[in-house]
Amino acid sequence: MSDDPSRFLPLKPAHYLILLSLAEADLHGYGIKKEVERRTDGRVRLGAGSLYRSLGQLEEWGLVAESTWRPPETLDDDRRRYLALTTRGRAVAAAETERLARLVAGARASGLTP
Amino acid sequence: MTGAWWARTLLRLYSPSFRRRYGAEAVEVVAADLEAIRGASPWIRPLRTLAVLAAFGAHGVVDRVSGGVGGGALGGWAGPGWRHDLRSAVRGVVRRPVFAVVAVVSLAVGIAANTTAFALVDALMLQEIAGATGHDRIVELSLTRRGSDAGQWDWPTFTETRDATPSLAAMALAQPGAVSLVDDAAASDRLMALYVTSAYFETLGVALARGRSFDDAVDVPGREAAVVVLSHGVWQTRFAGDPDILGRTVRINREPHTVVGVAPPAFRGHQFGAQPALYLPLTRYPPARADPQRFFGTRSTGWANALGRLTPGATVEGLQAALGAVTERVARAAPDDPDPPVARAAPARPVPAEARAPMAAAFALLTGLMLLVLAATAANVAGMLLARAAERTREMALRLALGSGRGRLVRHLVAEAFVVFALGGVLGFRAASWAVPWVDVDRWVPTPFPVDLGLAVDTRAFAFTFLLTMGGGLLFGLLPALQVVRGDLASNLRDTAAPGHRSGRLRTFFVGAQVGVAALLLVSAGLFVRSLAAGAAVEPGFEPAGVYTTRIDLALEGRDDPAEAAVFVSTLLRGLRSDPAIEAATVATDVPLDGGSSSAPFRFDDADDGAVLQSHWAQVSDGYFETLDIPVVLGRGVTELDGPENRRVAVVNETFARTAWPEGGALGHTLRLGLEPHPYEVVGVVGDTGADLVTDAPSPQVFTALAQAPAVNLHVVARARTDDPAFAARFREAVLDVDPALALGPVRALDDLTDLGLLPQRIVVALAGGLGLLALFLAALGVYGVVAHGVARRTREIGVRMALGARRRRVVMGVLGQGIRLVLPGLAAGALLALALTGVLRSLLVGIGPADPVAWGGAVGLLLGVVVVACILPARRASAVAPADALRSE
Repeated sequence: MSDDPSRFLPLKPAHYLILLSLAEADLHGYGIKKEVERRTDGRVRLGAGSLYRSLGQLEEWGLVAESTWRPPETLDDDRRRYLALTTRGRAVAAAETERLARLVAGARASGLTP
Repeated sequence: MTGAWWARTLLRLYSPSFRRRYGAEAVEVVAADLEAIRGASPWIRPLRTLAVLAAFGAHGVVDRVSGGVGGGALGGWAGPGWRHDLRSAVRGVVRRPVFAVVAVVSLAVGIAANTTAFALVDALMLQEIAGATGHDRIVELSLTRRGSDAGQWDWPTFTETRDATPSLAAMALAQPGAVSLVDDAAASDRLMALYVTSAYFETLGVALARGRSFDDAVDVPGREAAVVVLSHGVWQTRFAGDPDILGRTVRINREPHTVVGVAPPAFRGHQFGAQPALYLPLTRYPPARADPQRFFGTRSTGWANALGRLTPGATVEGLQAALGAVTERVARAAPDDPDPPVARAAPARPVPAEARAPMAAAFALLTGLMLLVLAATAANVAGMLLARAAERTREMALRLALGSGRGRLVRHLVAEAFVVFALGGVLGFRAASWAVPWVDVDRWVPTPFPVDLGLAVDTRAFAFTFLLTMGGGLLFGLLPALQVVRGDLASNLRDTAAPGHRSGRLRTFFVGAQVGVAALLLVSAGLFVRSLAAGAAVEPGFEPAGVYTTRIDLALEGRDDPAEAAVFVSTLLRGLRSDPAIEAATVATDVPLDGGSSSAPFRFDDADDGAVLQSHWAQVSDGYFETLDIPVVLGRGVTELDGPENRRVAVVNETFARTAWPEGGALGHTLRLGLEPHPYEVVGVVGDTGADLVTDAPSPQVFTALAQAPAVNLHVVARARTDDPAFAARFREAVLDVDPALALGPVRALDDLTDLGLLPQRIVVALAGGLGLLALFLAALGVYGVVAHGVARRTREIGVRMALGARRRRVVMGVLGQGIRLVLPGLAAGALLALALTGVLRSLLVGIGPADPVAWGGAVGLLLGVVVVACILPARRASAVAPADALRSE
């Protein structure tokens, strides 16, 4: 399997948002859902089904992996699986960001500036 | 059942690998999502709950079929080959045109019925007020006194509440009324106007398309300006979208009014179905101008509905508390008021709060019926797919053994269901677009002014249809598919006699359900067909044939002065009676069996106990009983001589006379109307007629002379001399000859109005009958399918039995018996449901009880007959089996 991140592009919006939400901290599923809502001002609300199926796919593709990090014991719940971005995941997220940036730059050049 | 329970149940749809890895967390998230919805309005909450659960379930199905996370062995659901599967599914469907046509058409009918029902429910229950802005800040306000549930406001309490409630940014009253509109041409229209206070448009957040709204000055009774805001529709149709409309003078109720504004096209009034053509200041409401003291000066008369707009950040609960304080102050200010009012606030919707609950019940029934039929249809299609899948069990087992992924196989089968459902959905959606315009009040009911329900097959309806179709395709495609691939590989490969055993049970259940639905619908239809027949046979007590009626409202013609009204009525009658085509003519406040009538309490002068008889009451001119051909049994009818200067007279019907004076001798007694001082002397007794509907039992009726107590809202009635199809137009001209500018209602034949009395029954017959026949057809197909399949599987057994000497007759009877046994449980369930339902509909049944043997016998007989026919073909095939062939067949 070649490790060219561009073969995962374009990412589905939900996948991209999940990768972004894991950029700064390792989170469990519900934490990811909340972070995605925070980042999009509540405009994107992932349902349980799509959230965990997306996580499953991202895990399968090796973009995220189970994290060894756990929160302090008082806050922890051992049913929760914390997830972290893998190196490949970071590369893919960066590649997608660049793709989107190029798109935006193209749009700006055509006078479609907000 | 809690959200977590549902989530755990739906989790079973997911693959084991998903459940192991994410199950516990996912259940928590679903529960949290459901918790977050808790605050939503009670109308939205069930929908959003359903949406959350459906999405979770749908993902589970996808996960399961694609083999779960990390379960690569079963192959990817979303992998390549979809297009190939769809293509081969289309080929598979096309190759069986009979199956395809039956499945697609029946699904299309079911889907169209559901889409139409959704459009209705959506328009009535789910939509917000069109054209308004800031919907969550608009509230409807009701003011309730004991003994009156109308919730209407009196003027003093309104002004105090408006001025003293800080959480209300704006508050307005609104009251509909009919008006006549005359422009340069003489022709006049009868239109619906909404009388409103100045803040009406501000309250709803509506910006006028042109001009300005009313200013505060119109809220001062007696000093109101004659101004009007036009609706977009009237501006377009009556004034051809005149760009210089502002400042123009139009004549409304024959008085000049200045146009100050035009409403935007999207805004069609705040209430469903009642679209105002014009907006006028409430202070110009004609009854209020006629009696300002009563309408503007007293608290006891509630007469207008109120709307409010919350200030930003205010809540309905907060407003409710503030309203409590206001009404308390009102009560303190008038300590001798025995019945202080209570104000309530609720989020505003196009349908007022008190009307929503009964409508919700009616719609639940309608939607339930529609979904039932669709479920039966889908079950049928699933049954057919199942039968085909069962035939292919061996093929599937072979393909699995050769290494084909289960996911691929399931996908192939689901694709077939999808193709059928998608075709049905497209066709059904088209059919609904055609059907919806027929759900039109004006087409069926004579309303005093045009009513537009604003039903539309729009994007929401499309989304509904799409979900219904895709959901159905997935569910009814997956069931048979999982059935086939779940089976044990080895035994499926080996066993030839038993495949489809489980699927057989499932099919039996589907067929039973269909039979149940068909039985329910057919029994209902049968009962109402019988009711229609009985209703048509009821003697109405008068002769409606050849009688036509139209309506005028003298208040709209500037003739509400009693003396002037009386002169006008006699001029009108003289004019009509001089027309040679008119045999007889009369004017009255009510005609029999038009679906509406007023009633009043009548007191007896000679009764010591102050007894009161609540009766239907109509004010009629001379010639009323002659024109309608109602027999005068005793004494006389109302004549020309019963004028204002003479003694007041009353004519009663036989039921009234019998109830009031059982020993006879009605003539000469005196009655009083409510608390009025003048006595009415009974001068005649006439035959009974139905008052409102054919279905009503005879009830007491009193007729008084119109000339002795004038009314303004009138029916003009004429009997044609000959049976002339053009009489309606001629009659209309004759009325307009008297005054060309009259705002005349439509001319209707009394026969048509009388028919309206049976409208609910007709609707039930059409709905239940149509859907029932469809369900019957589907059930027949289902029975045929199951029985034929059973015969095919038992070919060998039947052959052996025939070889051992079994008679053909026994074989045929055996197959028939199998068919009957198949439908009996469904039939019983459907009959029980029908019993429950007809109990509810009992009041609509005319002349028969809910246990009418003819209706029940007919429906059950028809069903069983159809089942027997559906069994005959396979039975004959079974009896024609040649033993030697059968034994050789495997």
